[in-house]
Amino acid sequence: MKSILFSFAILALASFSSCEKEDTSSNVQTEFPVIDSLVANTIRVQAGGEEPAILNCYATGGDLDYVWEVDLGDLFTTNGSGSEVQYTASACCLGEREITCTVSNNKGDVSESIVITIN
Amino acid sequence: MLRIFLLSLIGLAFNFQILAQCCAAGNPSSDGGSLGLPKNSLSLSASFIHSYSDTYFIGNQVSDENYWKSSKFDFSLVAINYGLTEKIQISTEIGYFIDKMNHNLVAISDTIINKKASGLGDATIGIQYHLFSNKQQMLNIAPMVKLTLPVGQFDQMDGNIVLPIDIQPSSGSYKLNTSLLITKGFFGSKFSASSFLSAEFSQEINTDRTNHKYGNLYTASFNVNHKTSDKLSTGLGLNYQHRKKAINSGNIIEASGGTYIRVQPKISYYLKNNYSINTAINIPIYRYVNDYQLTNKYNFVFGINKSFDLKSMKSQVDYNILEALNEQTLFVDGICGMCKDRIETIAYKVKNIKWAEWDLESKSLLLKYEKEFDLNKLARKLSKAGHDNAILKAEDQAYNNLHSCCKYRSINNH
Repeated sequence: MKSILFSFAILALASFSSCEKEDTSSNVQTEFPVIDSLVANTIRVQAGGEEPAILNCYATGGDLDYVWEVDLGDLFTTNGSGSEVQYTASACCLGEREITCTVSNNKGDVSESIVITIN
Repeated sequence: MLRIFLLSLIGLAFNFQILAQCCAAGNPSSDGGSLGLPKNSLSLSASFIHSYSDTYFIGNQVSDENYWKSSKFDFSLVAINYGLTEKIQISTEIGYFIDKMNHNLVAISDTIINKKASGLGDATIGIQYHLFSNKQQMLNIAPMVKLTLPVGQFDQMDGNIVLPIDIQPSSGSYKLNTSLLITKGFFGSKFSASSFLSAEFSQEINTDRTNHKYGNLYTASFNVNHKTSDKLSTGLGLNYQHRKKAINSGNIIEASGGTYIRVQPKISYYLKNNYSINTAINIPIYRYVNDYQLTNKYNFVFGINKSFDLKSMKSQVDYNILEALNEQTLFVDGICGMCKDRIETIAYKVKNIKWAEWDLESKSLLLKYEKEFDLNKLARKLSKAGHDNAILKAEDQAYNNLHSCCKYRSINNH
């Protein structure tokens, strides 16, 4: 019985220690994020999704998170950091669509927008 | 007993219909509703809706073009209805998207791209007024006003992307829905027909991210129900739905809105202890969309409902006290749950009666009292309401005013 209890205690300890999140952020020097540029390979996209616009957000500040938003149409990320996305839309979304990228870290956040026309 | 009454009402007005749209934020639009519950009655229902869309239309023609391969959602809805008075019913409901997904962006062939969300949708609060009721003709008219509250998260994310409006679980918009339900029974309520008209108006969403207004939604439906047996009700509905175009940042979205006509076969089965299960399928027979849009192929609804008589529940709490009271019984004729409700309501209005329970089998009204009460007065009130009793026979005119399902003399004569 004692050995069973001991095993449970060891397992519980192991689980607790494995649940601890490794804090890597403290090792990264961060500054308030700055977006150097938000660029697209094209500002006009044909509805239907065949040739999406590729958007890149170039930012500095360290340990950055990227959040993209647009009210109509579809964005999807194409790289691991999230700094590059593709944007396309169906006929639902004809016209000018404003895409916003928000970059943040533990010092704050900053946003930049770009307009892509769906036709 | 309540079950029999509810069955007769629901059989008359059952209109279990939720029209699932693809590519739209917020709860699927519901269409219909049941006629007012008796006073102090509570009805709880939980529904599951599965919707699937996979065909693009341009106007009323199938289009060869494809954007998303398909779209689907699994949605659950919990609704509570309460009979506040004999004429007023209040209701509330809340929706939850178990899964909502646009599947496979066709043009991007090297990888499968999905957009998906889940979570709380919208909540509604409503009030229905039983405006007109002719028991002999079994005709009822009940207007309703419903307010939609966008309680769910409107800026839900998938990874590092804020999802577009069309796939958000919550509509992000307050909506006002006005409707009118008309029901008519035939052949002693064996058959019933109901018509439901509604108009829904959305508030403009005005946030940092979007300025968007959903198109107004107009619905008209016609349903025929058959009380196949005491436990089974079957029906067929025909629904017309027209949505106007949406407006985004002051510009009309041409590829939005359209017209659907759907048929809806449905079945309700009534179980023990006031439970009922309901199932229906909505199939479009006509689709017209503005410009080019993904259209709904079908949706399937499954629900379970439970009704409570809160007056009886309250009385049960006081049962120990009631044990000590004096008792008297009175024969009162009647035939159904509606009779029971009426007889007991009349009895409770007589001074000094603390407890009243009418038994359908024995036709006996059990009365409990602490101080003497006026039995003749009770007998007079019952006969005036159309119920023969051990002391007085009801006048024919009073009897004729009873609801068709309460006509006990025609059954007694067989």
